[in-house]
Amino acid sequence: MSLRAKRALLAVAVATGVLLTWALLWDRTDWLASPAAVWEQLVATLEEPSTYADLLATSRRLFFGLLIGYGGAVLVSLLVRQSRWWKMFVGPYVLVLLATPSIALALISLMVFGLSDLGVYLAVAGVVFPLIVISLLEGLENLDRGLSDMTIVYRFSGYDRSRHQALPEMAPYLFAAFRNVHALAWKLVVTAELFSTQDGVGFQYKRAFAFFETDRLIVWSIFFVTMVMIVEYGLLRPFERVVFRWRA
Amino acid sequence: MDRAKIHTLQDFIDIDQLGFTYLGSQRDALAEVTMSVAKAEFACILGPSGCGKSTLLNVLSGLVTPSAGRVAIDGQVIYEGGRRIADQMPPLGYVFQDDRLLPWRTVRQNINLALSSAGIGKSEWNEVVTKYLRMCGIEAWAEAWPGSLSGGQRQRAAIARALSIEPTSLLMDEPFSTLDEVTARFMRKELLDVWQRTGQTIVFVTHSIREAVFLADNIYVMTSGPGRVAERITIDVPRPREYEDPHLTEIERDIVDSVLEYWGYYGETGGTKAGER
Repeated sequence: MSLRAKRALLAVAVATGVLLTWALLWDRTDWLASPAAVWEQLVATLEEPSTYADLLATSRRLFFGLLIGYGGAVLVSLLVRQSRWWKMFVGPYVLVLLATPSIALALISLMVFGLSDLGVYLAVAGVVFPLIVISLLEGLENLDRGLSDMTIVYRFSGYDRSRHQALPEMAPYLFAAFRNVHALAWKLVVTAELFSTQDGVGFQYKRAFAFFETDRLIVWSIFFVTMVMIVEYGLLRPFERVVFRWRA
Repeated sequence: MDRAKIHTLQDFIDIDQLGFTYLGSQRDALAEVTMSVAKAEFACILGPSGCGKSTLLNVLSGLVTPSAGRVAIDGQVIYEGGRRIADQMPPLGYVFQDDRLLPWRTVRQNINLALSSAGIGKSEWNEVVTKYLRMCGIEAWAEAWPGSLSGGQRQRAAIARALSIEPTSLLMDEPFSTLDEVTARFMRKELLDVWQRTGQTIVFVTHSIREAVFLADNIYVMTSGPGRVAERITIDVPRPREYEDPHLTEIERDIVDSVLEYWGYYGETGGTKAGER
């Protein structure tokens, strides 16, 4: 049996185990819904059109939050590499952002920017930004000196040096940094939504919690995890394969 | 064998009293290096490890500024008195010990980048790349990733890249030292072949006496650190030369003693020279 088949079998076995345990034990608790009830709720929720609007809203917030946070981090890291002044300027801000608990950042952002989407974007960006800057700066320290010399001797323009040397060399760090913050960002979006929005996964959590509907909570968690998986396996991994296709 | 420095109209690379000290270091890497290379000359710089020969190439290529001395290339003064004078370095091809191809770009893309940086128009790239890849015998691997090529093929790609910008001079830092001997021999012949066709000035750094004797018009023997040029040895053997030519062996034997002396092997501590008993 191939390794891949073994892995798949193991995953299925674990899932089956979890389902069985759930099916056997759910009515021993007074808070857990039955698998059957959850399944019914799942189907019903999928049939509601508003579900897709909610999923889309959360995805959109994640996308823009990550775009601002990650994009800002890449820019700042490249700037810091260029000059010492930037390093001194940026350093304290990164530390402060890093030290602030993410929930605090989320709340401050929502208060400052109103309970709007911008507030959510910046909450995510603020949490993600320092984590990525730190990963990227470490990567930038470790750039191959030999290749840098080559680009100097062959008179590459600054743009070419960034695009053809620094950025590709940073690719492993860029991907690792993204993975570090990806799941965190999803969780943060949902948390921010709990406080501020009228749609999205977080809003649905709030509703389910208010009415103590554990079946809805589980259904929305399944949706949430599915979205994270789609990004990881449907977007990130294929992209990664293309970026690293030069590796023999 | 002449020690005098003779300025001729043909001086293409003129180095006068060059010195270099690493920041924070007491010892000089290079001290009072004086040499000149004629146009279209194949010059070998022969020195032991640590004598500063790579530093010398780094100075010529513009990577570092010397602490003292004057360097002129093709009549243009590049450095004087420890400062860089020229705004623009003349176009140079540089082949490093390790190929330093961008591993995430194909061979063709690597060369395209060098061409683009040298200000050569996009419309010419295809033609130029094909020409020099063919000259170096690796046309078939134009679209290959460097990681899928052997060491020799990668070095040939690096040489093609250096040639493609049609530089005034080619700097080569022990480019074959990481290759196996058979590949290295093949590459030396190829290099001479290419040199005869392009007529560029080549400054080739090596620590192998045999390699220097085979390749060079003139060998510039450097002392061990702080490096200085001890002697210029002209190799009068007509081309094409054979690596196993007994005449070359004779020359090698003649110069090995003085070379090793410059490199500090026959000091007061003893050791017997080859000619003595």
